Amino acid sequence: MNPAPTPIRRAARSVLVLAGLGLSLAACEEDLLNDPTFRTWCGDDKLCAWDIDAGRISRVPTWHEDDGGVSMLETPTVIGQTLKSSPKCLAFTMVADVEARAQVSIEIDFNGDGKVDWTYPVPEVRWRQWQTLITAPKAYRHARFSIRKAGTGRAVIAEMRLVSKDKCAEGAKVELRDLPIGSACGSGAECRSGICCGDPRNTALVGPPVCSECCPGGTVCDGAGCGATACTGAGQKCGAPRCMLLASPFLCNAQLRTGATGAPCADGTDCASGVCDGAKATPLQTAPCPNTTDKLVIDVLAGTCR
Amino acid sequence: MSSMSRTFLRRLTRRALPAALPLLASTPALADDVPSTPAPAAYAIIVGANAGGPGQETLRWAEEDARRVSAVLTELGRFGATDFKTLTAPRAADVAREVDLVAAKLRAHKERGEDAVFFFYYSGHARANAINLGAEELPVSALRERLMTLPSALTLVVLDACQSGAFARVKGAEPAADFSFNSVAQLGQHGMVVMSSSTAQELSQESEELKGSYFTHHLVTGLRGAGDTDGDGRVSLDEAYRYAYKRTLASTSRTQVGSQHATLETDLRGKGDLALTYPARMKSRLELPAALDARVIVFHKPSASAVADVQKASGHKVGLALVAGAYEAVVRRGSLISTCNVTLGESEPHVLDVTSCTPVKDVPARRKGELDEIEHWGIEGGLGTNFYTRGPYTDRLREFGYEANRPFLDPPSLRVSLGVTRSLTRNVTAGLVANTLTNDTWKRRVGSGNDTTSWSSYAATAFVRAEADVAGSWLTVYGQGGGGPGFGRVTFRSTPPGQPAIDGARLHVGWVLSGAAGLRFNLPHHVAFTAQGGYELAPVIDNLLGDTLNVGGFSAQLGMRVRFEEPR
Repeated sequence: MNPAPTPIRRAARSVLVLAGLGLSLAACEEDLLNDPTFRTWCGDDKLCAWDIDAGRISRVPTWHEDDGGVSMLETPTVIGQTLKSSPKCLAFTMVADVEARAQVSIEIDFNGDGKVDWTYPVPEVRWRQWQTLITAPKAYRHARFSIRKAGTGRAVIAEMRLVSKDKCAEGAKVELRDLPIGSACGSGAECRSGICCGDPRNTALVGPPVCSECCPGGTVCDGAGCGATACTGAGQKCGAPRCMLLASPFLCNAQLRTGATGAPCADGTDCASGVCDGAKATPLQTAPCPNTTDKLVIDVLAGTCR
Repeated sequence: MSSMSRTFLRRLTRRALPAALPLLASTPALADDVPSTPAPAAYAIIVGANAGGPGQETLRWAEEDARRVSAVLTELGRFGATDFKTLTAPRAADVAREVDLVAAKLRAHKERGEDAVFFFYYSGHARANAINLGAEELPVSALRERLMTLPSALTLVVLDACQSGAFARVKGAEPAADFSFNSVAQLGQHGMVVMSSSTAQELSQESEELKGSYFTHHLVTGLRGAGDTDGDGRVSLDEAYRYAYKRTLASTSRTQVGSQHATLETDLRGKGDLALTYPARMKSRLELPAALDARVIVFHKPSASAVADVQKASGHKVGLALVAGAYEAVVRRGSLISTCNVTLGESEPHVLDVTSCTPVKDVPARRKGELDEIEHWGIEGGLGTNFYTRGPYTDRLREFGYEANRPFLDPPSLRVSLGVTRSLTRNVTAGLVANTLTNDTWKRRVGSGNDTTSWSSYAATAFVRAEADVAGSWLTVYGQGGGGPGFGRVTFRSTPPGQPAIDGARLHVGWVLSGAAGLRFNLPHHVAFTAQGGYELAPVIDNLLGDTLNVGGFSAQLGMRVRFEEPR
């Protein structure tokens, strides 16, 4: 049995479903990166659409004086950006002049938890196109892509395209591990809690399954059974955070104000202390919660009760 | 001497020439001693046609030739009633009608028992089986049939045209057979003479220097007195032919077109020599002294035309009967050239006295019926297509995500060419041509914007073209090769969303090698159309990574050429 949706959830979901259908029709091979050809510079050493996470970059000519690329100058130099969407198949195309000793790699951090989940070393290439394809994890909310130069050689990137593909049978599969409560998941094996709760067949309506503390109704996405998903503490009840739109983690103390110190929490209403440390919620700015000034949230990465 | 002229002399001997016309044939001992017998009536149709048929260049002096022949016969002939028709640029029907009119008059003379002579002169284009009157052709067979049936005492046909020696050689018939007295034997003592400017295999030539054809010029000069080798004051048919033959051969032997041998086919019966002109009767004469050993060209000053060209040998004097007026005589003795101003009066001859000198240039000759290409300029234009080439440059563009921007049927690039040519020889032409090479646009999509790179390229090449006629003169096949600089302009434009567009352009300079072959369809009035295919190797454009782009490749074009004579 699925968690019972509230009226506001139903309305918001309908909006997102329609938007999702429209997006899926329009984006068979959607560009997932902004400025894949490094054309937009904000100053001499900063790209407008890319973050410089480490090192220094500059603009250099490629095949033509006016068709510039990015030269990764220091060791290390890392540039990255968050993908526009979260497709299942990712096709990478790079045109670059990379020496082997530059030790250039591309990386993806799924769910943006700061942990690199996939990395691939770029071979030595001299202004030629290089491509690879991966199968993304079954479920993730967002991902951050990075280009890293770890060595001292020349590394000039003319183009870095990342597009979604409809089919990715040949791509390497990326599997996640030790995901915290609240992370999108494809199976319980990916979750630190061992429980991945949600309906993977109905993600458009209710969002992806998420790593949870428990799972009401026993709808566990990996089909491993529901016996271990019930809450065992006195007075506990498996429920979702307050004012949650979709893809919510299910907690045993949800809104009960009974969570002991160290218990998973989405916000202070879950904790006996009234304080939930470390929870990260993404609010939906235009949708306030009923009868409160809080914002409706669309995903929550659980913290712990103080 | 050619076999034709030797044949002529044998016939003269064998058939007891001089023969035909007693009225013209007696041989006076003195220059002014003309026959006392009544002069015969004379009729002439003198035709000059500068324009030719398809593929034939316009002549410059054919019509002037006709006027000169008419003048010399009028001034120096000795005839009774005369009716000389000079037709310049006539239609074929005009000529036929005039022949019919003359035929009627000749029949009237014959019915009255009177002798009459008929001259037919033609200067212009001709092919082996027809003379060309502009776009029209007058078949030789039809002309010959009309002339052979004329009831004249003597018919003298003079043809100054390419391959005019073939006039009597249609459908395999021998000249003597067709123009012999087998056909006109009923005229008794009368006959027909055909004098041609060249053999059946030769090209007749015009001369810029003489402002006329070599043959007609020398024939007229001979008739004006230079041909009077026996000094009897008149120029016979034999003398005129000998003079025209020798002087035409000498004049054309050093031209690029080649030697030109005049021919004479004659079949006359009767007595006495056949006198054509009586130059000694004219008081206004230019006399070249006996001691002079030089080539003398006499120009009529008001018209700036050469009226005589005499190779004067020492030992005898030569008199040239000319209309009174101002002349300039150019005297060439070895490498020395002098010009002499001469004023001929009505009352007495003027003896040439060489006094002053000015340099005179040699000029090349040109074929009659097809102008010598060395004097031609041409303008050529063409429209067509350049087919795209592929190579490292375009491969690199694909690597960078660009695709050729040709949304519909992948059409080739437009080719436009414009050039100027100058003939070096009859079959070789040099030229300069500027043409477009390939133009192309490649695009890549980047988000909501596009990156676009385009190039346009051009060549300016010098070439040498060899050509040959393959179907008469209306179709020419040619091949050419050349080289020169090539130019390419590459532009780049990027339109990032929310940012100013990035624009850049770069000019490339390189080299081009070109080769082409084609067909040219020659039309009248110096116009021709061409169909040409070729290939150009033009690695003009390159990128920063060292990849080059051949902006040439295969091409096909249709063109038009207009040729001009070089202004003098």
